[in-house]
Amino acid sequence: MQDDVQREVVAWRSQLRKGSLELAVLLALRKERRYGLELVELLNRANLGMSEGSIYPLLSRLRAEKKVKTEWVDSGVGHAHKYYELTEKGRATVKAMVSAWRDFSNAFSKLVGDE
Amino acid sequence: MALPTPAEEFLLRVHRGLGALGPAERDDIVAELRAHLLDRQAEGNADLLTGFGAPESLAASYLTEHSLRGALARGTSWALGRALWIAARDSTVSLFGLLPLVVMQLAAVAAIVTAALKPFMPLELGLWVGGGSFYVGPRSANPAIHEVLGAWGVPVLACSGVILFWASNRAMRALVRWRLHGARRS
Repeated sequence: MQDDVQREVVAWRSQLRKGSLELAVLLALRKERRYGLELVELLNRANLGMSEGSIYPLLSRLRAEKKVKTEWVDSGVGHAHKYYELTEKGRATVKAMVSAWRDFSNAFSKLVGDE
Repeated sequence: MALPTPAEEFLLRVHRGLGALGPAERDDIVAELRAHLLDRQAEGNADLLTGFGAPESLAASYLTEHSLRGALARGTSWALGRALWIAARDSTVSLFGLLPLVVMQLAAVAAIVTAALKPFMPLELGLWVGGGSFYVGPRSANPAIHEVLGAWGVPVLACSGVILFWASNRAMRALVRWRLHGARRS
């Protein structure tokens, strides 16, 4: 039974991660522009366990939704990097998502505290 | 700096998988992935491709999102149907939802075309019933069928065709939205 519970929790954590990936990426871009690998490494250092296969299609979507803009910058290492930067729409989205996240987190903290 | 053969093969397969995109967008995506792999290689990583999954799956992640979003923006039945067809590669629900809607669209087009041509061929076109048949279009060789709408055929078929076309288009849009949310969760 313990194994079943562990498996369920692992699957649930994975769903939580996927659900919060957009917010995580937008937060990572809040203070400075970054390129894909920087984002992957930053989010993995934060123990969010985001794979390249998830992040790059997400970045493409965020650009199509005009939440980020991109620019190819010569990095001086023999190839250019594609940098992502928040747009006004992206900043407004982060603000709204953080607010919703805080409400959600507070509600859960109360529930967990009552346990 | 050159990438090892498996990485080049990976990029080639992603590029091939992105065939539905425009060449500029396709090249842009592959150039970004190449830069990522070159950075990983410069860091001394032996396994460059860990984390990407299969190249075809990665390409499908870009394509599904792109085609569904583009189809919603265009709103035409062709674009919606095409996007659902692409999405059906990893969602059989999309396929089973799409098929009846395509049938409805074809029936709607048949009704509208029949209504448009009926004034010129009133005895040859209409809604035919009898002998186990029920269909809209031209008279068949089956002697048991008869046309049931007569002069009302034009307004009835035109209105029902337009309503059926509109309703199935709305249903396709709803299916695309549902699939788009699903693609973002997966």
